[in-house]
Amino acid sequence: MSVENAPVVDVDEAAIPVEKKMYYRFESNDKKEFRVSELAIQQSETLNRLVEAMGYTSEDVENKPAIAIENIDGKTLKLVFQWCEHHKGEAIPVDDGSVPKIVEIPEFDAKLMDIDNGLLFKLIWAADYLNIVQLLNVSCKKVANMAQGKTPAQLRRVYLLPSDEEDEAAKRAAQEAQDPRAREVEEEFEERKRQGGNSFF
Amino acid sequence: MGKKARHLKKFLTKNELAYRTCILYESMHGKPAQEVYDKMQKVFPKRDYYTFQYWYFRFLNGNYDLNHDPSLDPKNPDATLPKMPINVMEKIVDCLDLVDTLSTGKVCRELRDKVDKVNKMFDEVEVRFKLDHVIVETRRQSIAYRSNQNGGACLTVKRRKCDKEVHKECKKTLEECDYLEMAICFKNPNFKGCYLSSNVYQYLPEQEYPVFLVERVMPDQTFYDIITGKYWDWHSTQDLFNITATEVKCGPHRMLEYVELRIERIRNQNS
Repeated sequence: MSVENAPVVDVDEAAIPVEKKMYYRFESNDKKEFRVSELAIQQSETLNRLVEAMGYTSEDVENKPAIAIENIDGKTLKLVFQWCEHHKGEAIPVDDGSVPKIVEIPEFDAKLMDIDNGLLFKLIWAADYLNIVQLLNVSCKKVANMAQGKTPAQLRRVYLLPSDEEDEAAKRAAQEAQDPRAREVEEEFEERKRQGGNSFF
Repeated sequence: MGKKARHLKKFLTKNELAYRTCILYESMHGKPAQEVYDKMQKVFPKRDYYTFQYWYFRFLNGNYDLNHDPSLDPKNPDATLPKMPINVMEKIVDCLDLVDTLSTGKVCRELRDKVDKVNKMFDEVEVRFKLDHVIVETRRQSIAYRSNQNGGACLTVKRRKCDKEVHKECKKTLEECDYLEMAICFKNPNFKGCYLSSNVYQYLPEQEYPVFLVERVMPDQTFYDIITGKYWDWHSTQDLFNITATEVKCGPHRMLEYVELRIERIRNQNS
């Protein structure tokens, strides 16, 4: 029978049983709980493999303890799952390294990442840990954009990093604070050297 | 339960490594976590689900180290740029252009080490020194420093296969600019070599071209062996630069147009 001659059947969509959406429960290291749809979880390779291996039923999801994500705090995890829910069902980019990628930051992602640097770096760390390829791509692009056209001094302010000199001074100060006698001994030694003595003791 | 089985159970319940090995074995067979946990409860009844889940999760993600110490896991990841994992750093640097990569590398030593490790831009570098400008060309883009009237330098960045150019005034002189950028190229562990061409030093004796072109970007502790044409790298004594100079002559009178130097990083034969 050709396609044209196939009988047309009216379908009552309400009569078709709709598969119930499953929402998994996750818990951050500060005990904040999140409910995330199965489709959104697919954006994270790590979590997707985990839930597949767990083989939970809808009842299990409700009755068993939430899946603990030990290394990520609630604030960061909230951003991660917001991103996953917004991008659920989207194709996951394959990164084979052969072609240099051009990463565009969508409006939703730009708004989501309008956060302080500390939280942004935590988000990157979480995206890497949970293997969420596209979130990692856009967040890294955001950090790269922050560096555009800036001098090293401006970048130190953006990334909140000390210069080599400041870093060394801070280390010296910390060392001295730990062992104040070391500084005294050093000064005494220098003084004796100036006086021409060749023996310290 | 026989005596041997009781003995084995006692051994297993007390042996942490045996517990982890069992989880590893089960996780590799792709069995559902809950099913594995329930099954293992018979032998390891006192183990809680959280501990089980921790190890199951690790093994499932390819971390097979049975002796891993969970207390060493980053509880609060150090949220600063230099502490980012190397694959993350690679992605960030991949989005940066040459000038921004160079700037990022100058922020601090810790960041420079990370950037240098992942920066692949210096695989192929060509540098042309002229009296009034210096051009550094990589696979992806070129940057040119030109002298301006104020004694400073003007920087032009151009991406390859792209008409857009970025211009910027520098506070440094042309010589300071090319010195800095070249020093960064040479220090980069991924820097394999480059072509330097110049019409600036064409009146020098031939054997001194490398010295005059490269010496200014090398720190004091390095030296050039004029006989072998090799330069010691200051980063590690195991590496050397091999330098070959070629004079390019043009016109009917074969006038010296410019000098081209091929600089290659080579491994020390004694290493």
